[in-house]
Amino acid sequence: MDAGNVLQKSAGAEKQPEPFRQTLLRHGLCLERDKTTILQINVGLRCNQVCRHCHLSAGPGRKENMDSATVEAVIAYAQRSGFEAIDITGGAPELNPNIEKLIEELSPLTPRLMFRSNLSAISEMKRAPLMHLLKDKRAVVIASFPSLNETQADAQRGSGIFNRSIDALRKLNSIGYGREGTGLELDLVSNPAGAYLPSPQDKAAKRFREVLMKKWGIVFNNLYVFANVPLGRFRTWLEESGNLGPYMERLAAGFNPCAVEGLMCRSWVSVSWDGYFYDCDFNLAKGLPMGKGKTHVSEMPGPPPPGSPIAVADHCYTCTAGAGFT
Amino acid sequence: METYYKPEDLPKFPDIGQQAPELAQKFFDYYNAVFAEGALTEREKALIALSVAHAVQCPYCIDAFSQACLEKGSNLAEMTEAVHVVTAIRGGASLVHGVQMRNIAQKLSM
Repeated sequence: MDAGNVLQKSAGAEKQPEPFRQTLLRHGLCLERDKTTILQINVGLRCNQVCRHCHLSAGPGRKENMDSATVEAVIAYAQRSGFEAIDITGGAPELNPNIEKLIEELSPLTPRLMFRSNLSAISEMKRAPLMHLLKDKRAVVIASFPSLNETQADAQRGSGIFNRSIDALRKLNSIGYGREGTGLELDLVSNPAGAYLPSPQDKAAKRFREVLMKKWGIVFNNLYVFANVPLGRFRTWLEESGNLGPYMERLAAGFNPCAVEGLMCRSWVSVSWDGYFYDCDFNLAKGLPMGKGKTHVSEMPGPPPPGSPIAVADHCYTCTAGAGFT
Repeated sequence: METYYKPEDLPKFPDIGQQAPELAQKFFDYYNAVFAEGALTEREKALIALSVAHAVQCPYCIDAFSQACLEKGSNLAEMTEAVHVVTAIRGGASLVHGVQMRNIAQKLSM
């Protein structure tokens, strides 16, 4: 009997999902690299926020931060590899003391430089020059903005963060970000505030656009919705709240074999704060390196070749649920 | 039977079609069509379903549509207001029958 979507919670029975690797095999799929065109750089785990959904358990107490020698090695690697896009992330990348240098030197090396911000860090007065540097270098700002609801957002990200995020979006709009005709791209990222899957991206984007404009006069270019990855602090919360089993089963039940081909790990490569390669930021969080052993950025001649196998684990169900995580 | 309602029974809902598969399939097809985006968004329909689930006091539906509402982008404040709407109608439906009570009482009374 095909009950379709009738009472969707029915997918969340209390059983362990089969290992992700086995699911791939059952569908006759093999996860390996396509051409790698995007370099993601995780500059460290220091963050001014302690988000409950963070797969990296980033926070103010974390000491891991990319040092200047690694920054130099990453810049040299980007220069010899020629990536179509470079994505700077963290932690809060604003808190890395080398961040200006990284932006300055990477921007001529790629047609698309992306900078991920939690918004609260960049909105501090002392970081106004950084915001203007991003503008000058035409960097795309990808900002975390989980919910239109203050209670939901603050429950995930910390008290007062929602209003600080609104202030930051207004500042970004005021210098041209998100505004038509400026070429300054402002994208938002929304993650669910709990153990459930995100809204369909197109519908969420429509609603965010309407509500942000109506309530706060804020504009943006694109909204991306991502499911929370069951690693780090989010996994701890899932375990403590008794949600881990049902959440994993829900992710596994949503496995879409068609999403595998377009997974971001096929065309991205991630470098950690200490200069080692991972197939994605989630494998970085899991400590699951790319290839057979840890490879340092200084030893890598160029992008990993097409056909290289991608390391997988059960958290990969997050990216294959529904339309996929691209 | 220690309880009438068990969460693990919810995934068994499609089994209801075993004795009347054609009727069940018609119901499930209709059900899915109803919840597809139309003049109302899927988010709005899920909020209506959540509120009605409270009116008919269906624990399966409350479970399923609480999650559905969150996944469609609603928040707890909106979901709570939806429950108040159905509560107001349900309470109001009782209270408005007081008019009938008054009519009868007035007819019988001197």
